[in-house]
Amino acid sequence: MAVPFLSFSVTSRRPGLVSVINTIVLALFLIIVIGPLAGLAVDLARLVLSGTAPAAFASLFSDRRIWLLVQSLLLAAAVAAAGIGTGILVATALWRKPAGITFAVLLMVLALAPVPPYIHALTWSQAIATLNRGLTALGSAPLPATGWTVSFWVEFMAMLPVAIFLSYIALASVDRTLVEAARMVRPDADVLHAIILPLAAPTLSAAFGFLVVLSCTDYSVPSLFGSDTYALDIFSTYSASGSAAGALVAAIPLLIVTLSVMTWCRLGIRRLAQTPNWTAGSWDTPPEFPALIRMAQEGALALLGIQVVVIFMGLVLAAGSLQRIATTVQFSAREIQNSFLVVACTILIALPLALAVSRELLREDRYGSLWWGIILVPLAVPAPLVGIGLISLWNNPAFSPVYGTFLMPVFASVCRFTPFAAVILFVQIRSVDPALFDAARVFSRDTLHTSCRIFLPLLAPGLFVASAVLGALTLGELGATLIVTPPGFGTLAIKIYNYLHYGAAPEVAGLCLVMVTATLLAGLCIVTALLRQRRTPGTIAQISQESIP
Amino acid sequence: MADRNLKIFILVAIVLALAAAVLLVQPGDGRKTVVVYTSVDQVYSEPVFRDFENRTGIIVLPVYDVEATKTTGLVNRLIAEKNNPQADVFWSAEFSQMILLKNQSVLARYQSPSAGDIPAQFHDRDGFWTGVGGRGRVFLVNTDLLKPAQYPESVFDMMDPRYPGPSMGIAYPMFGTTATQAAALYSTLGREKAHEFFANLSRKGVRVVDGNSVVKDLVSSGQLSFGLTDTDDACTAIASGNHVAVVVPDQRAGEIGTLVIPDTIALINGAPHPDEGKVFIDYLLSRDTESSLVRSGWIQVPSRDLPEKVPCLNGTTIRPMVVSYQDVFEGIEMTKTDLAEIFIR
Amino acid sequence: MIELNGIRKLFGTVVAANCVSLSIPDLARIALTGPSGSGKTTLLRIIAGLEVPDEGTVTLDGRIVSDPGIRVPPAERGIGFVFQTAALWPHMTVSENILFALQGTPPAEAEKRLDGLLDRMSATHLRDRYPDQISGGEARRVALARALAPNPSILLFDEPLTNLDDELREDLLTLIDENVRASSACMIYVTHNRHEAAVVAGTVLNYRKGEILAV
Repeated sequence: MAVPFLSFSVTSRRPGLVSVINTIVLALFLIIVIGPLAGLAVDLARLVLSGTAPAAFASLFSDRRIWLLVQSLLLAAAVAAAGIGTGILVATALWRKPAGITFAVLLMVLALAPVPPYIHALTWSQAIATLNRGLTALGSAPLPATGWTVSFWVEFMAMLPVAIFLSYIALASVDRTLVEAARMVRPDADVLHAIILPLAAPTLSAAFGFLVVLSCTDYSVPSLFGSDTYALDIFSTYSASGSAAGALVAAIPLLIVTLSVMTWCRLGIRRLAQTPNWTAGSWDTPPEFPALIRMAQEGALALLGIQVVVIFMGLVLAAGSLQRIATTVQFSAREIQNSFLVVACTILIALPLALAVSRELLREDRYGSLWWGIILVPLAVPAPLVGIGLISLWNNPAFSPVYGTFLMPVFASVCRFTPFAAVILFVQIRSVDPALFDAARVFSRDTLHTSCRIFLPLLAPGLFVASAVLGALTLGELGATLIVTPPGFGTLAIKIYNYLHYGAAPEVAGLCLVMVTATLLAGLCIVTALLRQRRTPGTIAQISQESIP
Repeated sequence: MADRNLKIFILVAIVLALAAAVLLVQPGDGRKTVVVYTSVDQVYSEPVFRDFENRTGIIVLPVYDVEATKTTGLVNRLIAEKNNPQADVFWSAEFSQMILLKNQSVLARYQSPSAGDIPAQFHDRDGFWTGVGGRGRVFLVNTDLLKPAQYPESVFDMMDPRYPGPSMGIAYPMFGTTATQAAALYSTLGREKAHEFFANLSRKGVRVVDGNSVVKDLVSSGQLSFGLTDTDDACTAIASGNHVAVVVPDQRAGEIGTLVIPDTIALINGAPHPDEGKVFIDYLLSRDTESSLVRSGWIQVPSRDLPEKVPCLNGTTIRPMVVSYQDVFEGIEMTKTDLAEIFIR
Repeated sequence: MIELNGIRKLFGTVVAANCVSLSIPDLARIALTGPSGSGKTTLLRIIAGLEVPDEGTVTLDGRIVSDPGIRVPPAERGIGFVFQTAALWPHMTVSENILFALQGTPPAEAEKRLDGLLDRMSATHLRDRYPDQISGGEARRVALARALAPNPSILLFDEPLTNLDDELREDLLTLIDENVRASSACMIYVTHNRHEAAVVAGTVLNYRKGEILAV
């Protein structure tokens, strides 16, 4: 595929202005996003070459570590499988619901997606304790409060919003024309299993892989319920040795697994980008499924409902009164202000970087593959290591205008989350009819004018989604921010975790409600932008429909 | 439509940029500042900072640690920054990380005149750091689930068959003050006996959770009968009206005593504001400040003889475990590695 | 005038253009026919600057626009292009789509030209509509108007009448023929439909496996 707006205007053998700007932006991406991680790797290499390799090397592939890794992967796979399965049921259930319900469900999952896993763990722990008191009073055996079962359940519920959203997109990406052709000759249940699911399989697989990675790198939920995971062992190594290099070594097996999974996901992401009109939601004649499937779908919707109730009821009840929430917000005004400052700056910096990188991801040659490898690395590195890498790079008298300022927490979020934005924009670019970009190249009289009038508007939905995702992830970012936040500059996430530590539950709940409200607004923007885009899609499906008189 | 979307997007971007600019532009007022990194809970340290600011006019710019990073975040940040320090003072909630920082040449020598009446065992022999007050490692017991006669009295009572494993809780002993206590036990008992103790605990199925505050929450809610935690967490649970009580373990004659973990304070080597840092350290180590920290509930075991009593301990005097901080520090890495093998599998 | 000299283009092992040399004088109207996958569209895209040849030179109106050391961007080649899928920008109205190609022209003149083009295409009533509000045939008319708007010296058509019914195709074919003759541009029209080729072109070239075979 032709790479849009990469025009080499070599009338006199000089690169065009757009190319120069593009190169500079790519270089900035490498410095800001990859630089810290490269610095960590260089430190490690230096240690190894000097003969003082971290002790963690010795036990890297011990039986204990291998078994921990296997346990962690099994838990992650189970969580991902349950998430995708439930996501498919919810998405197919929404086909039969009015558009308003679909809108509300999508909004809810987007709002819940960035809620930190620790909050899910706490609210579910309280919910289970309450349920057990009731069961005990009734003379029944209580539910297990520790162990792999409850760890799986809470992790599954924490990932459920993301799983539903990804499954919805995967199923909506299937070409309706193909489905309609099948519906002409087979019942809808057969069409679902023989046509829709196989066609959606690559993107569902990508979603599965993404959930596995998310689950693998989280230890907060399993550790609360007494289940040990590999991610916890990495931090244990870090704590024991105080060595970032040692922690990086300990993280190698997990990095290999997560990078492999993300590489596999890439195939599904590319497939998603090629299929048409994934913002389509409603059906003219909704599918009819047998009673068993309908029951399962309603059950899945009920599960989502339970998750929403547990989180919101847990937060609202813990928050106490509106008065208390207002006091908490007032007391935390500085942190809320700082958080939104970091969010704003992260979006402003990360978006151009992501846009430049997304174009490189379109390349079919080995450089395209290289760029895919480059953007997957930050996704696999634990957050505190990113923070240490940032210090290594920026804590230098030459960079004193940057280090020690609020830009450091901004760079922490840019480093961690720009790859997500790049993938989102890649998907957006691929879903647009390439002829639209070609036509712009033919009829353009002014590069800047064309960029503003053609390219950016065509990418607008992707820019909206990327901005909202960047904002939501940045709001909840803790591990790297804590390492680099300048003195006197606290964020909402840091304050929430500080309050959690000394059990100020009402204050935690109040601040979490602030966070959820902000992500609800972000979700509102995404869903509105996506649904508006259906009116003037300019996508491949729409173009093929235009050809029919 | 997409054109209009783009216009909205650009408008939002401009608003965000303007907001960022407005938030950033904060007129400097020329006041002196001191940068304090602290692992003391924000709810306790913040009032100390405000009081210092009111008394001296020096603005405190704090950086706090959080439970989630298991106290490694701040210390590793100090080490990573040592060639270009940003902090002036480190106020730690324990001592082992302070010794680590001393060994890494992160600290500067400073002996505060305010610490003259603090006992010798709280001072670093080379003058790099000073301890003040402290917290004890105690049991928090749920009084609905256990009668006083059933309360554990020693950490070794956790091996007693009358306490089922899942009814007891500890924080992961590879992190924080639980790790420090574990290292103290290793130092006191010797590696073999200590390893056996923790291995037995693990086999028994004791509940290992994400931090001392989680132990406190689980005991308070009745999900655990009792657990090991710090005195500040225990006293918070009592002050919140939960049905819990504090038991100070190993106080009988011949027993090992209770580990008391002091706060430690030090000046950072190459600090950007060393004079302000010294003024802050003098303030923090003063008798008045230690009293205020006892009153606020952070310190339960004062280093000096103070008139303030700790309500939740009911006037109980804690007999501390006799350990060398240096020995505990030197054994901590081995202890953590050992315990990771036992508890993360 | 269009001159191709030794144009070679490979996609992996597939030969899209195999040392193609061709000279098309001013006012000439050429149709390029051939089976699907023969490389016709690729050749068109090379002339337009949307593809870069592996070897060879492209000269337009006496100016080298593509050779190993030079690549003039598509917008600077003076070409009007009608794409297979119309390729109207969905966020712009019909008039905005056409006016985009007139960027740089004084507004009054651009408006006048727009009115004239819409009139010729019988599309005045579509002026303020968006692409998703017009039919496929109407979209083709607008695409043609956009291609003619900057008075190009070269017009390229890439199977512009695909998926249209016979009656509509005939109407549009007539429209294309009339407007190309009136424009004095030289034209290459790619199609696999011999009837279309016969109507619009004075010369029909057969293109197979990357090579031109005269008809």
